[in-house]
Amino acid sequence: MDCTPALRNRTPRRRLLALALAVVVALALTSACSSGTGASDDSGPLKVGILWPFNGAYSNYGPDGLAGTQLALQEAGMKVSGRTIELVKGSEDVLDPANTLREAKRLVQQEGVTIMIGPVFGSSQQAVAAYFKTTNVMAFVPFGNTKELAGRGNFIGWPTLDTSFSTPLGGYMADQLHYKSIATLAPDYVYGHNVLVGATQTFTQAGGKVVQQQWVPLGTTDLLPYASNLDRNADALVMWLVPQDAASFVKSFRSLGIKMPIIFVNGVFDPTFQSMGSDIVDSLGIVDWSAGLTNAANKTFAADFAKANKGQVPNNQNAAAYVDTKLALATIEKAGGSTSFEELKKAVTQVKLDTPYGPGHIDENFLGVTSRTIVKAVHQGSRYVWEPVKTFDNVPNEL
Amino acid sequence: MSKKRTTNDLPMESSSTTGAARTDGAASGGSSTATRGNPARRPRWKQPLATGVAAALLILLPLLLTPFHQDLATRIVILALLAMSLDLIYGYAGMISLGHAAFFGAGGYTVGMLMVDGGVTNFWVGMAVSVLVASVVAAIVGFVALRTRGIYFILVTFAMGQMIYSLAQQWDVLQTSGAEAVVGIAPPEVSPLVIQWTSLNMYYFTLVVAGVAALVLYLLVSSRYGLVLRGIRENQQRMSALGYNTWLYQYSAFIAAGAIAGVAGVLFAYYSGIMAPANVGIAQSGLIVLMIIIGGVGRLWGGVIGAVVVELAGFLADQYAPDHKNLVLGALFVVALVVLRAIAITGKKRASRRRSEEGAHVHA
Amino acid sequence: MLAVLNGISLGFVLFLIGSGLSLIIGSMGIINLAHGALYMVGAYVGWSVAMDAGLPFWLAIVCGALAAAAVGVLIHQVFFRHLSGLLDEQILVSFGVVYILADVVQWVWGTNAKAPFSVPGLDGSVNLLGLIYPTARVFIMAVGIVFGALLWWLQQRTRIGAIVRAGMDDPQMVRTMGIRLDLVAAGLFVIGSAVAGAAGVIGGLVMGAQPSFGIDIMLLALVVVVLGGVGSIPGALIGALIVGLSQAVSVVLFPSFSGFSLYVVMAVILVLRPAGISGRVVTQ
Repeated sequence: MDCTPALRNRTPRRRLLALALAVVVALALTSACSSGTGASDDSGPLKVGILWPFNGAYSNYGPDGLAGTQLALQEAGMKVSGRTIELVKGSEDVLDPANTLREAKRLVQQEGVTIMIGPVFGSSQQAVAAYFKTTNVMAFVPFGNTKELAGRGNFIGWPTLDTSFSTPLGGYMADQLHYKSIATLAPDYVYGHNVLVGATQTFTQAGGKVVQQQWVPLGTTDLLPYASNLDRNADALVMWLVPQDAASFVKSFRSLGIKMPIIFVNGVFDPTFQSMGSDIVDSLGIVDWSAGLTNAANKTFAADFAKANKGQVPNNQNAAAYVDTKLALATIEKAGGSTSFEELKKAVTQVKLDTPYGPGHIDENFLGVTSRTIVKAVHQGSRYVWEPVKTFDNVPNEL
Repeated sequence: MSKKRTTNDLPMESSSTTGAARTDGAASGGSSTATRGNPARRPRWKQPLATGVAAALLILLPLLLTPFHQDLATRIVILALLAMSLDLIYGYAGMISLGHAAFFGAGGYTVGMLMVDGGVTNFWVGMAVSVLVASVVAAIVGFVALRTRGIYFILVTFAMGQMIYSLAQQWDVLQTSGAEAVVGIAPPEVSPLVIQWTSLNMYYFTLVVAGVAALVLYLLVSSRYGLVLRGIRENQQRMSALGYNTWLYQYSAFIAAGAIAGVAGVLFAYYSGIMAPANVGIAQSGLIVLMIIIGGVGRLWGGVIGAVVVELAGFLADQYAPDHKNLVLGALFVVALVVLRAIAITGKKRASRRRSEEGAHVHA
Repeated sequence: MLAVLNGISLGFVLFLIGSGLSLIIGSMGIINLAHGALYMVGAYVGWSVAMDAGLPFWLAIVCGALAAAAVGVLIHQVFFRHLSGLLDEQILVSFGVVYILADVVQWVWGTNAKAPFSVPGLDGSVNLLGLIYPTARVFIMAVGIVFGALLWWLQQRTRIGAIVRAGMDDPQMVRTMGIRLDLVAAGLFVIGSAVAGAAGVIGGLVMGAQPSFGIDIMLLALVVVVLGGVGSIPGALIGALIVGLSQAVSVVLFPSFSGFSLYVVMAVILVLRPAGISGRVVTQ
C-alpha cells in the first residue's frame, strides 16, 4: 500500500484506542441505564409497562394506546389497592419482533414491570411469549389473540379470540340479510385470516356459501387488482383491511361500478373513516367497539376521554388500551393488592366489568368474553359514525 | 491457471494502488483505501496486544453486566459477525452488496424451521444445514448479481435481497403458529456438552461460535486468496490479464460471505427465538452497511465497532426517543458520512480526487 | 383484460418515478436511493393541497413537484454534489435521507397513513372499450404517455438531451468541449426530483400517502431501472410496464406470491440480459 509509514504505524494504536473507547462508551451507557434493576417486590410503586408501537409501522398506535391507559390510570388516581402506580413506556417494533423482545426484557428486567399493557401485534406477542413464560409478567393484550397464546395466563386477551371476532356475523347475514353467497377480502397474514374465520364458519353452518376468498400480501401498494378480480356474483363482500387499504380498495371498487354491498369486519377506524365516509354510507359492519355504541360505560368513557384530550373523540386503540388497563387494575384489586402471578391468575377470571364494549369478563382460557355489535355507517352532524343496529352479548370464544 | 501462481507473482504486494487506474465504479468510497491494508505489515507486537486486550474485554466484560445487558452484548456480537462477513465482499473484494441480510435470514430461517417444524435441536446438524442453505441462496443471488457490476451490482443486490424478503413475507411455510415469522426457536443442544442456558451462557456460546467464524474470515482475508480479492477490487482488468479467473474469485467470496452471514443468522435465531421478514430486508441490510462504514471498510474489526455503535444507538433511541427513532438512525447515517468525508479530506486528498474523477459515471 | 389495464396503469406511475431515477443514475452515476422518499414528500404535499386545502388538483401536482424539487436541491447541493463517484458516501446519504424524511413526514402530517385522494372530476369511472374503468387510472395513463413522449423528445431531439447522452458515454470529451457537465447534472437531479414529487401526487390518487413509501416505492422504481437499463427512457417505460403487469397479473395467477414473482421475473431477465432490456450499459 502506498500510505506513509507514519500513518501505518499509527493504525494499531488508533485501533486499540478506538476499541477501548467503544468499550468505555458502551460501559458508561449501559451502567447509566442499568440503574433501575427493580425486582417485583410488593413494596414501592407498582410498575405498569405499556409496550405499543411508537415508531415505524403503526406508530400512531403507541400514542393512542398511551392516552387510553393514562385515562384509566388517572381515573384510579394513579393508585391501586393503596399502591402508587408508575407507568413505563416501551417501544414495540411491529416489523422486527426481536426488537420488541429486547424492549420487553428491558421493561421487565431493568424497570421491574410486572403488569404489561401490550404488545399489540401477533408477531410481537409470539416473540415475547416464550420469555414471558419464564417470568411472572401478566400482559393485557388487545387484538391479535391467537389460540396459540391462550390459556397460559401470561396473556390476557381482550376483547376476544381473533377467530371468534366475527362469529355473530354469519348467522346475521344468512337470517336477517338473506345472503346465499359471500366473497371475502383480508390481508394475507394471520390476523387477517383469523378475523374472518368466525363469520365464514357460521355463515357456512347456516347454509351459505363462501364463493371467493382473496388475501392481500403484505406490502401491496395497489388494491385495484383485487377489486377487478372480485367475484361479482356473490351477494356481498365481507372484508377487513387496515384503514388506508380499505379506503383505497373501496375507491377502486366503486369506480369499477360494482354495486355489491360490503360488510366491514371491525368497521373502518378513524380518522380514515371520516375521510371516506361518503363512499360507504349505509354499509354494515361488525365491531367490538366503536365510538357510536350507546351503552352507559361507553358514554362515560367518551366524555372522560374528551375532557382529558381536548375534546377528541376516542378511537379503537384508545378504547382497547383503556379497557386493558381497567382490567389490569380490577384484577389487582380482586387479588387484594397482591401482584403475585398465581394470585392474579386466580383473580383475573373472577373480574366482571361494565366496559365501553359492553359487559365483559375473562374466561378460563384467559380470553375476554364481551359483546359484538352489528353497525351501520351513517352521517351524523359533521361526522360519520358507526350506528349500532343489533348487539350480541357474551359472545363465546371457540378455541 | 491461477493455481500455478506463487505469491511472488501477485501484483498487489506494494505498488499497485498508486499505479493502477481504476476501471469500474464497483470499489467503494475513497476514504478507506489506504487503511484497507495488509494486516501482516503492521508492527509485530502491537497487533497481538490489541487482540489480547480486545479478547480479554470480550470475555470479562459480561461478568460485570446484568442479564439484560448480557443479552444486548450477545446481539452485538452476532451483528458484528454479520458486518464482518459483509466486509469480506464489500471492503476486501469491492463488491457493494445491499442485500446481505438475505443470507443472514436464510441461515436463521433454516435453523428455525428445522427446530420448530422438524424437531431438530442439535446444534451441529442445525448449523451445518443452515450454512449450506445460506450458501446456496448466496450462490443463486451471486450468480445473478455478478452478471453485472458497478452501480448496477448495487441495484441488483438490493433487489435480489428484497426478493428473499418478499419470499419470507409471503411464503406460508416460513410462518409458524400464528405469527408472520418463525417463532418458538429455542437454544440448541450442543452435544456432547450439556448447557443450562442463561443469558451469560448464551453470550459465551455466541462468542465462541462467532469467534471461530471470524477467525475463518481472518484467515481468508490474510491469505493469498484475500490478496487476490483486493487485487480485483483495485484493478479487475489487470488481474484477469494476469490470468486470474476474477469472476470465480468474486463469486466464491460472495458465497463465503453468505455462508458466514448464515452462521450469524443461526446465532441470531438461537438468541432471539424468532426470525421475522424484517431481519432479512433492506432495513437490516442498510444497517449492516452503516456498521462497516462506521467502523471502516476493509478491516474486519471495523464491523465490531460499527455494530456496537449502531446497536447501542437503536437501543437508546427505543428507550429515550421512541417517537423519533428514525430520526436518530437517519442522523447516524449522516454523521457517519460527515466523519468519513472529514477523514478523507484531511488524510487522503490525492486518492479521493483521483477516484471521484474516474468513478463519476457509469462506464460503457 | 382488467388485469392488463391495471398493470399498465400501475406501470405508468412507476414509469414516472423510475425514469427520473434512471436518468439520475445514468447521467451522474449517483445512486440516489432516497428517490422514493422524494415521491413520498410529493404525495404528502399533494394531500395537503388537494385534500386539506381543497385546491385544484393541477396545483397539487405543481406544489408536490416543487416541494420534492426543493428537497432534491437541498440534498444535491449539501451532499451528492460533493460525492461524485463515492459510492459508500452516496449510500449513507441515501439511507440517512430516507430515515429522516420518514420521521419528518410523520411529524408534519401525523402518523396515520393518508387514504387515496378524492379529486372532483377524477373520482368516477369512464367507459373504456366497453369496460368500466376508474377515471383516475385513465388520467394516470394519459399523463404517463404525454410525459414519456416529452422526456424522450428532450433526450433524443434537443441539445440538452444530446449533452446528457454524450455525458453518459464520454464525460471527458463533453468536458473538453467546454460544457459544464456539473450544471447539467444538477439540473437533471432537480428535474428528476420534481418528476418524482409530481408522480407522488398523481400516484396519490390511487395509493394515498404513507411513511413507508420511501422504501416501498423505491424498491419498485429500482426494479424498473434494473430491468430497463440505466439512463434509458424507453427502457424505463418497458421496465415499468413489466413490473406493473407482473404485479397485476400475478394477483390473478399466483395470489400469494405476487411480490415474489416480480423479483423472479427480474432475476430471469437479468440472467438473460445483464444490462437490462435497453442494454445501454455494457457491463462485461
